[in-house]
Amino acid sequence: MDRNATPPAALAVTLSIDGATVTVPAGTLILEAARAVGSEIPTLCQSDSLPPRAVCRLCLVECDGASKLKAACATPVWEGARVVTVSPALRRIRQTILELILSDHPPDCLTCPRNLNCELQLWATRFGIRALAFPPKGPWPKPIEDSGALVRDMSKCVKCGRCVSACQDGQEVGALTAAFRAGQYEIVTPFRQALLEGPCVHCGECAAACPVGAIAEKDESEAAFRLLEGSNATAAIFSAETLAGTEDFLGYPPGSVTPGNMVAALKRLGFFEVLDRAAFARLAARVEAEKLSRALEREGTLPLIAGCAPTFRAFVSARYPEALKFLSNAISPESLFAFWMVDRFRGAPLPRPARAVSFQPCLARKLESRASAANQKGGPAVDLALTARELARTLRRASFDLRALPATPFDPLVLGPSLTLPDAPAASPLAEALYAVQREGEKGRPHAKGPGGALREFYVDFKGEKLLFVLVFGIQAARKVLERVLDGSLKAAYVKIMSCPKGCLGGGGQALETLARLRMEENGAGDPAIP
Amino acid sequence: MALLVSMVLEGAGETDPLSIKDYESLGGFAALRAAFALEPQAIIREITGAKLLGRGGAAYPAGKKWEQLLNIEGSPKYIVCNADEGEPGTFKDRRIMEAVPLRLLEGMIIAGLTFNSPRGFIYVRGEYRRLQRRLAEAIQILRDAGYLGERILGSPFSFEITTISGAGAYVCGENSALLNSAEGLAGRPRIKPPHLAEVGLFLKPTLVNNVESFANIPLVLTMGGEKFLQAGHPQSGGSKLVCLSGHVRAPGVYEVPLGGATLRDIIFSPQLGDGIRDGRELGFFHLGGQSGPLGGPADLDVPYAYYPLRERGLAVGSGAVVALDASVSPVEYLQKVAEFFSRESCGKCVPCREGNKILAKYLQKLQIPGAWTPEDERRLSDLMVAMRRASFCGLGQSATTALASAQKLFPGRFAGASAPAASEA
Repeated sequence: MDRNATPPAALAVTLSIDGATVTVPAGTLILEAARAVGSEIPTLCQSDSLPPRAVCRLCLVECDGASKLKAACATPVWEGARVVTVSPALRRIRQTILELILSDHPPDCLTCPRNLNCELQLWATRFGIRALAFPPKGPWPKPIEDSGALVRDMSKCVKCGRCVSACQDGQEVGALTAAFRAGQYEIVTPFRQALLEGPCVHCGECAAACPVGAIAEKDESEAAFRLLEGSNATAAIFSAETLAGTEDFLGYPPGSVTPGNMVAALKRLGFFEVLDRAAFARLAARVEAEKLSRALEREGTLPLIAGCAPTFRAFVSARYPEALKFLSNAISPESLFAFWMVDRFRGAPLPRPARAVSFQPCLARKLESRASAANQKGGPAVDLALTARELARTLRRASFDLRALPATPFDPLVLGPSLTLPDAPAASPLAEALYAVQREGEKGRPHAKGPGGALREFYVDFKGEKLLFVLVFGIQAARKVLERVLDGSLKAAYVKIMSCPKGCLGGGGQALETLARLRMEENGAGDPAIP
Repeated sequence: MALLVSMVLEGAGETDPLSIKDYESLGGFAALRAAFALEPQAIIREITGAKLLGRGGAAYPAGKKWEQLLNIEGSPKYIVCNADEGEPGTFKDRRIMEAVPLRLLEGMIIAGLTFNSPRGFIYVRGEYRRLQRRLAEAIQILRDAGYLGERILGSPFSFEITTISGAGAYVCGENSALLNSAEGLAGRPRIKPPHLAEVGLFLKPTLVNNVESFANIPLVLTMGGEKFLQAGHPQSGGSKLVCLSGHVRAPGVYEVPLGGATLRDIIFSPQLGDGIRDGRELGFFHLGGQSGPLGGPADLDVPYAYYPLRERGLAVGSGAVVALDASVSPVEYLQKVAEFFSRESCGKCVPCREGNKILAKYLQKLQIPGAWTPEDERRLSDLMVAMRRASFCGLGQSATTALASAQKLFPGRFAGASAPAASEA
């Protein structure tokens, strides 16, 4: 039995909410049912698709005239219920709760990364809070920068637990937890170990779940500007997913900004060349195809498992060390881009110095960049790996109207004679198949419901055999796949693991506006009412 | 009716707590033997008829709780004894476990039999190290004698009891936090529904009762529900262990028949508290632990029983009675109460975590002459309502009980005398 078991949704329940009658499937939460009649109940700790926590207490509602209030985010409807979501008493209670949260929150909105996109700010604004009943005092803890990708400024933390739930219930990684009690209650890594030392895959689901500015990407957009100032040979790559996030962030309708507009914008920012990330992804697939064809010839090494980022290896080391032997040392498109840049200007007199910057809705990429202390291998690496959020902020700062910029083609990826790609593989049907799987992983699974990630299977004809390729979304699903690999029940040739449950499009470094749009699409019309 | 009775504590101090023979000589295990011949419904009928109210503090009818569990599908069902006894001023479960542990265990075995449960657990307050050992010893003795373990008394029924140690958190007295702690999770309360009867320990249907509640079960069965009820108050049968402390001359655990003694009897009778020490006057008293209300001299003649006290805005709660002499400042006293809650909140919900911190600051401010403003008055009132009505669990919901009662008891001493906090919903 599930701790959060809900009754089967076969039955319909009729109830009244704020005087309106509504019929919804049994098991629907009051919060969802209320949306169907146009009553938006304030929430802070609730997030769709994760189990309710009911700790912020903003969503309390009155039921059947009883004095005992119920948390709308955690209480299923019942037949004949009379729910009131708006009343003078509820308004006072909610306002007091907001004031209590603000009593332990630094009033630094203007300099917060989430300024104007913060759920606490939103509700404080809607409740018209002008003066703080219990002014916050501090002292505030310093931001924790222990990963090179994420910054945890726990002074801003409202202790809603959404990040913990995303990490534990959604991803089943368990890199974050709640510890201590009363005023000391806080969200920490287990035993306060550095994120890099634990199982964290740096998916950034925690940052995406955070309603405030407590967990966010390490913002390197300023560093990107400095890079551009000091070099006239900085190249950039970006993907279609990054472009989608930028559009949403800047408020353009989806599909209205072309890649050509974006190339123009980046060049106007000072980038010397702008290339299509997909070109490097194709190259990466060729390298991967070489590895797979070798693995196909050997016994007992299948499936070849490829994580989308090197951080997946950290997770496998921590949780499934016996599966390490299946892991591919896949080279990322970003690393190939860095390779190419090194090669591009080898021996060339000017322009210099060559710098590489990548844009992808991905936090794990930061750990691969030269800017990260985590990257100590010294191999080819981009100088900076920025998320879609940082790119969007950078463009906002530049105040371009992206759609008005003259479309400019991508600079071509020319493989020079001196380019020493590993094994210099050629294009092949196997490479094309791997690229297709990779692309599906990047595009994500916008309409799949639930937090658990998902599997997709592909059959690939190779030398008269049908090979099974499995694409895995999210670490929770990855765990199950790893277990099946280890017990021998999964007969696949290749497994591609996307750390983010919604692929790169819904990645942890994606614009929050895009993530919100995907959630809405996932919930259908967002209307559970039975017509 | 006598002021003191000897029911739950019969044999305490006079018999060897670990002697089965001594316990049997007082009728011990007669109830268990009788229970073997009874249907579960019949056992529960007696408990319901006895009007045995939960002795941990919430006073939930034990019969109703057992009935609910009986009607729930699923197995195994677990029996859990809440021996966390974390309410300050409460030390009666300790007395039971010290002096009559076999009565508690018999009650649990009867519960096990009623629900055909394989396992019982006693979650014992972390500081009660010695009692944890004593219980383990008592369990072993019962196992050796065939009262626990495989095929109890030759019947097909097998039952084991294990002790689990708490680790010092007040909130683990809350039943769902207790179960989390017992499972090895952090001791924080769970979302309800689902109720513990349905999804309890290790997600199985579970009965959680207090030590004193379990220890009453053998009495209910040997006396019969009706006689048990007659031994107490018409709305709540049996006796209550009172934990009397503070400025009384004779603090200690006393067993009084419910409704058979008044608060005046408890504090002033030579058989019980014997009055206030050092010739001082009674100032006020605190009932049921830190989460309970304060009462004053005008409340002394209320019979000590659940409903009469409730009508007066007071409560039995855990059974704690802390009497304080007139030299104690109620504001200072309540500041300590607020500091207690601001330390013991589990921290997960906003009204309790943040509210208790601020409540403690307000109680400080009340002590600074001239500092209190009408604005503070309004804010304090809003804060108390939010904490009481919006907190996740009983801890936060009851953290303002003492203050709300004190505002009525000492009009003027707390600027909040006119606050609507206690009257609104």
